[in-house]
Amino acid sequence: MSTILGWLDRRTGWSGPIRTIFRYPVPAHAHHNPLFTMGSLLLVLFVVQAFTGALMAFYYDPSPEGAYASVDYMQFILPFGWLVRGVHHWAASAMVVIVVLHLLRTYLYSAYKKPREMTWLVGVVLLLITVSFGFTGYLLPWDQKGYWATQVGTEIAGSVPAIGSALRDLMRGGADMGIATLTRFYSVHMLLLPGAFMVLVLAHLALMRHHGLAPALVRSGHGPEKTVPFYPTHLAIEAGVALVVIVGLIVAANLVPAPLDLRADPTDTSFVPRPDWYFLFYFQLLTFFPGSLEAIGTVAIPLFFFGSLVLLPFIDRGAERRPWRKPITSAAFVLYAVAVILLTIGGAGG
Amino acid sequence: MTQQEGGPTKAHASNESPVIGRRDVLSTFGFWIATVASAAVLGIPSIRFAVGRSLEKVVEHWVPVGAADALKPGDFTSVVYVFRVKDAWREVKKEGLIYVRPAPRGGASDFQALSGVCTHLGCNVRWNKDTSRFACPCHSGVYDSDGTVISGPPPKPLRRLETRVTEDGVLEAKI
Repeated sequence: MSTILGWLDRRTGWSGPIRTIFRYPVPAHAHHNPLFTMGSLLLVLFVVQAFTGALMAFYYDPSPEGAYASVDYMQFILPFGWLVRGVHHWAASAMVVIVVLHLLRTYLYSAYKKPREMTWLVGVVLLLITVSFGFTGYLLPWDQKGYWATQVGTEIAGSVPAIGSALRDLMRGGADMGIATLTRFYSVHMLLLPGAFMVLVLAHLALMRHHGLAPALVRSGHGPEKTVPFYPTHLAIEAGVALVVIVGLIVAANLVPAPLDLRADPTDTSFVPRPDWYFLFYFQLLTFFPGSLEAIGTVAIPLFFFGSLVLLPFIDRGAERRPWRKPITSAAFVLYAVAVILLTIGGAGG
Repeated sequence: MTQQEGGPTKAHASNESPVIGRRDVLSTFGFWIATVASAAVLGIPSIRFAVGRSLEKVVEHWVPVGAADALKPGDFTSVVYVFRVKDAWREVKKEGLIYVRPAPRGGASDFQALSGVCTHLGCNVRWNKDTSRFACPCHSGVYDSDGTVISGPPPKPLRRLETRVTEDGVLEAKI
């Protein structure tokens, strides 16, 4: 075995870089805090999505006439179709939950501060891509929920002042939703977004390793903090968390199968369009801006939200990192969280 | 880190004064011109390809709604219109929802036809006979029987459609 590995190393020269990646010293505070496993868990979930997505592409028929029947076939006829599609469905929700936890951990530890601004910014773009995966994904079964969510979603793009209708038609591939909408959403969902996601994750990881993890908020003891090797000590925990989540996804897929509504019907008046839970707060927000104020809800508030995420490391530049000593950023966090939770509840009940 | 950013190359270092030679300048220009040109010759047609026919104007159609004399005065009838249209590379059945009734004030051949699509975010509105209102289930937009917004977020009235009656007595709407 060592002869083979030695030969491989002489031919590739990879053992050095691989050792650097896996022997990396992880600070003890991060090793003992489950919130620090969220990043790698997201990577695992992305691989789960890429894999189950590639499998579904074996059977998926990206046309308005064929999409629904092909998804119905994989869900109810194919062996383990419920598992592959169910895991893909639940992992999408899990990714949103975990990405929010990951962002909250970074926020509460003020880990976005100098010199880690770029890591934070790349993370904000990754958050946008994660949400875009959800938006482009649920049209694909061409069922009522996906159809109407996309109808509303593209009309939201249509409310952007001046360029709105062009933007909407570009997203749809025409003035109305049809075959061109489905094929472009399919391409973006399974080729363009994953490609961009992978490039940015590599950048995110390289930046994280370059600067190291942000130090503990409160130091205990003297001298340099203890570390554990990334492999095997820390990776064992991450792999354990990943296993629990993957088993949880399979159980969820079994207990609550991935939903498939009736086939999309553009003329139906009995269906009440509601997006997936993680878009509900946004959906509900749009109720409050009538007439010419529409763009405030559809464009201005989301831009302000993401703008504040982008600008955060450049506004909050002090050395203080403990949340209880930073009343303004902590209050802003509570305000955002309460707003999102209240709107989600309103959207779910409305 | 590249040699340009990292300081003088070995050859330059041995001369002690860093000199940017003509070859370096040409190579730098060459690199950037080739890269930008490659991106442009592929990128510009790619963008046009991706836009495709998305931005073309929609052709208006006269679609049959039903027998003109079958419509009851006063109340709206919801009609699902269907016509065949070329959607990108396929001929498909295009469907949509309109509400139509004999015009309350007008002659026998006057009809009032409204698009069933909410002007807020495109959900289908429902006609409520008892309240004489159209209501949208998405964000609670409400319109009166003329399609005028009464409450909620819709920015515009329901689209009013032109109608005509053919010689055979078939009511058609322009969508």
